[in-house]
This record gives sequence, structure tokens and C-alpha cells, in this order.
Amino acid sequence: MQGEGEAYFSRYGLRGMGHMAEDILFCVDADAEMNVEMKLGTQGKGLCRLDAIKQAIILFVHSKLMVNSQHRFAFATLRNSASWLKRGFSSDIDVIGQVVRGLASSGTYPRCDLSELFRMAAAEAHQSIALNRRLRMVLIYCRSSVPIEVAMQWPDKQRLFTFDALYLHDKPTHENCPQDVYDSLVDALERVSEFESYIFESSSGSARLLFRSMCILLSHPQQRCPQDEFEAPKDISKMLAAAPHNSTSGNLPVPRRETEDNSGVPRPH
Amino acid sequence: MDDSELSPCYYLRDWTVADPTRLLKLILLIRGLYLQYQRKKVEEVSDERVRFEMSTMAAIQGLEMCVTTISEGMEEVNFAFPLVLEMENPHSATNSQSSSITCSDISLQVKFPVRGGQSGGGAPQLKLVAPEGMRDVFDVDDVKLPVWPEHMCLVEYKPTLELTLQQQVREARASVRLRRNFVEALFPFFGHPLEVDTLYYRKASILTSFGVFTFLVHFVLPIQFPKIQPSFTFQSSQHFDARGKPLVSRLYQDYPWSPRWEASEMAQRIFDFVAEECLAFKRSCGDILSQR
Repeated sequence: MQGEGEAYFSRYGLRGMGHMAEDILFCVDADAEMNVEMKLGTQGKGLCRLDAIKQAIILFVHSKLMVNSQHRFAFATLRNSASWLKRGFSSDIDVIGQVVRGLASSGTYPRCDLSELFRMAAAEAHQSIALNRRLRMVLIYCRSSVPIEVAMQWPDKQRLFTFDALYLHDKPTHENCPQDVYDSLVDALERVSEFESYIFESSSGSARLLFRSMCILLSHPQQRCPQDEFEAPKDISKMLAAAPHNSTSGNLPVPRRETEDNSGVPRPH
Repeated sequence: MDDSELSPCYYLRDWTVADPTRLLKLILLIRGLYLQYQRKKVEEVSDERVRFEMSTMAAIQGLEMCVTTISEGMEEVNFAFPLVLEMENPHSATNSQSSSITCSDISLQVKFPVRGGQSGGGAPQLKLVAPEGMRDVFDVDDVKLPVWPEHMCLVEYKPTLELTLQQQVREARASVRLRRNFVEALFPFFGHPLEVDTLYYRKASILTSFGVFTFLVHFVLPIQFPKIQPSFTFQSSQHFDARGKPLVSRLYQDYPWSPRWEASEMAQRIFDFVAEECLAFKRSCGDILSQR
């Protein structure tokens, strides 16, 4: 562990990395596919995607404010196009909690055009920049057969905000196309994002994995490395098992390994 | 009415919205006139000590003064001036600029009580003032001011104070570098941090896991690092209270520590401590949830 660490250590440096407060815009899909059940929760109660996502967003907001109380949040929903749910960035956890708990699915939407969302984000981004902040958009999407489009021509040079995505979907079958959807999301991220963007996808239905991905999304865009180089979270139990003499603690039990069912779509690179 | 440029009337007479600098110039002018007015009032104070300070300090850049009436026959003469501290220029290695720069963000405020036209002769009240933002690097309230012996005067006290402060500010700036080294030393153990205060390295948050238990650790690094050790809290990503707030541990600041360790040793020891404690944290989260 020491040797491997040192090679990276000499490359990794924080000097020169910015640290501006973030204005984070969550855009949450309102499609009926949000009602799909996740894997059974620990209390045996059914949990649908939207419930898990609400919990994940609240986890994200609390965590982000614990890291730095200057960050703020706003909310939009996505049907065929995006619209505001709560405009105006705020860090008031009670208000945010109310807004998030009010999220609901409202129908089946066979199309999804992000042009309006980009326009909204660009307009907000100018205001953020004037306040010495940076805008980030986090899209949470769950349609397994509807790739996203950007009908409007988006100027290449315009990179005013960072764009992350979280994609929950069904396993691939002959009737859906989650791979196409995933590719369309990656395309959009690459066209628009100011800083390194991160995307997570899963068909496993695991709430725990969802929360884990949300925590990685906490990572500050100005301090990010490319996603495939991101090295957290490391597993302490594996590190201790690999080099037990480095630890000053006593014997620890061997951790139980849980196999993740993550047979989602493969990455394009 | 005095219409020269030294009079407020000049700026008010032909008021125009086309000149955005007018209001600022007006305010600065009025401020300047007020300072002159107060200076005259201080010159009227007959007390010998105040007159001595006035005469010896008159040439100090940025000196301000005023008289305030506390009660019948009791006044305070206040002086304030910026302290000039010499620092190494952090960029001098890379360009041809001079190797030292001056910092004059810290000011000294001095209060001489004057009763019935006579000051006591005891030490004046002294206070350091600095911009709020400096508190993340250096807290002037922590500074132990040099003693003010009998017969001391401002023109002698100022350089003594500046030397003391220079040393302490140097240490505070060195501490920023040491905090950065420490945060970078966490990388082999915890991977990329989620977010770091990359201005003064006072805060850093990382994401880690023990098996399937994923949690965050939020570090707070004190100004007097490494003399005073970092404190940190754990935060679960999987356990929530009734309102959805993730469960958080107590504040840890009493773990084994030595300021003499290398950054890599500090990081190793903290890793070991986190590795041991996180299971207790996970258990206590489970206990809290099962009690509900």
C-alpha cells in the first residue's frame, strides 16, 4: 500500500485548485419510471426509485453543507422539457426538505429535450459567476427507452456550468435501449460541462449504491480528476488485509464481501 | 460657499449620473474633512503626553485620531495606524520582483484616557484590528501584545510590536503550507478528497468505506497546526434520523498526536485511528436506528 500510494502522492497536489462556493441545480425526472421498485429496503418496505432519490438528495444537501456551509441548491423537474420546481438558490435545509419531499412523478413522457434546461442553467450561471460562485447541474434520469436530445444548437465555447448525471434504469432487454440513453447523456455532458463531469448509472436497484454514487458526486468540480482516475472511496478493510503490519490496531474480523449486481450498461471508453 | 474641489459642494453642484465616481469622491472628501476636524480637536488637548505622541507620530502613514467624551471632564484620545510587516514574497523565486513584500492589513488602536486635561501616565488601552477574512489564517485576538513599560511611547512601541507580529504572521503562513502538506499526505490512504479549502487548508472532507459501510470524514485543521492537532467527525451515508439527516459521530480531537511527526506519519496514524473507530461508529448508528 505504501509504495502504490507514493507514486500517486508525488503527482497529486492541491496547489492552484480553485474552491468557489457552488450553486447546485438538481433536475429530477418526473417520468412514471420513477415508480419502479428498488431492491427491498432493510425494513422490508418497498422503496421506489423516487423515494430513494429523495433520500439521496437530502443526504447530498446535508453532506455538502457539512463540508462547506456556503453551497446553495435549487430544483427543477423534467418532463418533455425542464421547468422550475424551486427557483432561487438556498441553503435553508427545512425549505429544501419540503421541496424534495414534494417531488412526484406525473406521467409518461416519450421525449426529453434538454435545451430549456441548458438555457435555464446558463442564465443562472451568469448570476452565480457575478457572485464569485459556480453553477453545477445534477440531472437525475430514469427512462430506459428515451435518449435525451438537445434540439437547440448549443455553442461549443459556452461552458458556463458543470453537468453531472445519475441514471437509474432497467436491465437491457429487446424492448428498451438504456445503452443509447447512457450514450446520449455522455454526449450532452461532454458538450456542455465546464469542469470534469461525473456520471453514474445503475440497474441494480440498490439504494445503498445510489447513496454511495451521490456521495462521490459531492466532489467539488474545481478539484476533480477524470472520473476513471477518481480513487475514493477506498475500502479500509481491504487495505488492512493487504498490509496488516502497517496498522497499529489489533486483529480485525475479515469483512463479509457483498457481490453487487451491477449488470448495467458498459461504459463507452 | 466654498466651491473649490476641496468642498463637498463641488461634487454636489453639478450632480450627474454619467460620472459613477462622484459619490465615492464625495464620501472620501467628507471622510477626509472629518479626520481633519478630529485632528484639530486632538491638537487642542493640552495634556503633555498626548502632545508628545502627536508630534512624534505625525508623519506616520495612515495615522488617524479622534477625541471621544466619556463623561463630565473625562475624555479619550484615540490613535490608530497600520502596522507595516515585512514578508517574504512567495513569488520571488519565479520572477524578478523583490524578495520581500509589505503587509499593512493589521492596525493598532490606542486609547489614552484624559481626565480634566491630564492623562494618567499608565499604559494606554491597546487593541489589534484586522480584516475579518484574516481570521482563517491568523487571529489577532490570540496575539500577546508586548508589555508597555513606564515612559514608553508609540514611536518606540510600534517597531517592537511590528517585529513580534512579523514573527507570528510568518509562523501562521508556514502553518498554511504545513496544512496543505498534511491534506496531500492523506491521499494514499483515502484517495481523492471530496472538497478541500484550497485557500488556507482549514477544512477537508474525504469519502471512504469499510466493506459495505460507506462514510465521510470531515477534517478541521486549526490555525496553530501542527502544534494543535486536527479535529474530525464521521458522517454515515447509510444511516439517517427521522428527518432524513445523515447520522454524525462526536468530534474527535483527542487521538494520539505529535507535532514533530512527518506529514506522512500523521496521515498514517490518523488512518489507523479511523480504521479502528469507524466500526464503533457504524455500530452506534445501528443502535440509534434500532431504538427508534
